[in-house]
Amino acid sequence: MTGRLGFWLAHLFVLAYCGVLLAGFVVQFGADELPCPLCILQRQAMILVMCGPLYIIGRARRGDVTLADYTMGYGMSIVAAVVGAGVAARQILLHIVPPDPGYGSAVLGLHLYTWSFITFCVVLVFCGVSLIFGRELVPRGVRFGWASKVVCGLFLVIVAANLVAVFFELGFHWFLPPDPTRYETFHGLPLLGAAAMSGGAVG
Amino acid sequence: MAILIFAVLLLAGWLTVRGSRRATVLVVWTVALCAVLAVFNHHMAAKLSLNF
Repeated sequence: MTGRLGFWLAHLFVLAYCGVLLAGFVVQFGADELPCPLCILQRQAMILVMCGPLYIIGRARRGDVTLADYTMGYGMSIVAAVVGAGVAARQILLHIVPPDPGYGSAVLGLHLYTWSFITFCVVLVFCGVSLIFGRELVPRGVRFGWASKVVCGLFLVIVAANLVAVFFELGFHWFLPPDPTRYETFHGLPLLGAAAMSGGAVG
Repeated sequence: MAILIFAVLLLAGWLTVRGSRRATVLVVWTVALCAVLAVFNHHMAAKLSLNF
C-alpha cells in the first residue's frame, strides 16, 4: 500500500510543478508580462527538480524501483531545489528595499519569484520527508501505465513549450536583457517591420 | 544560452521518462544544472555583485 503511495506521490509532485509552470505561462501570455533572465533560470531549476520524481516513475518501466533509484530521484530534486531557491532569493533581494515595486505584478499579494522561493522550500521539505520514510515509500508492485504516460507527456510538452517561448523572447541573441520589453524574434522579422511601415503610411 | 539549456533539459527529461540508465540520466542532468549555474553566475556579475 505505501509502495503505491510513494509512486503516486511522485506523479502528484510532477503534476503540481507542471501546474506552476503553466501558471507562469498564463501570467506571461495572459497579462503580457515577459519573464526576466532570473525568472527563466527559476523555470529551468523547476524542470531540473521534476527530473527527480520522473526518474522514479521512469524506472518503473524496467521493473521494480529500488531504494537506490528512489533516493537518487529525490536527491536530484533536493540539489536542483537548492539552486532554484538561490536564484529566487537573489531576485527577492534585488527588489526587497522599498520603494522598489518589484518585477512584474503580484499574485495573491506576493511576486512570482517569492512564490517560486516558497515552492522550492516545499520541495525541500517534501523530499526530506520522502527520504525519511524511503524504505516504506519506495514503489513496489507498480507498473508504468496510462497515468504515468500522461504525466510524462505533459512534462515533455511543457519543456518543449518553454523552449519555443524562450526562443520567441530571446531571438538570436546569446543572453536575455535584464528587463526584457519585447519578443526579439518577432521584432527582428523584416516582414512584420514592412507591414508596420505600410500601416503607418496608410494611417 | 537559455534555448540551449532548455534543449538539454528536454533531452534530460526524455531520457529520464524512458527509464534510461542511472549514469546517462545523471550526466545529462548535471550538464544542464552546471549550465544553469553558469548563466546565474553571469547575471550575478553583470547586474549587481554582492558583498559577503
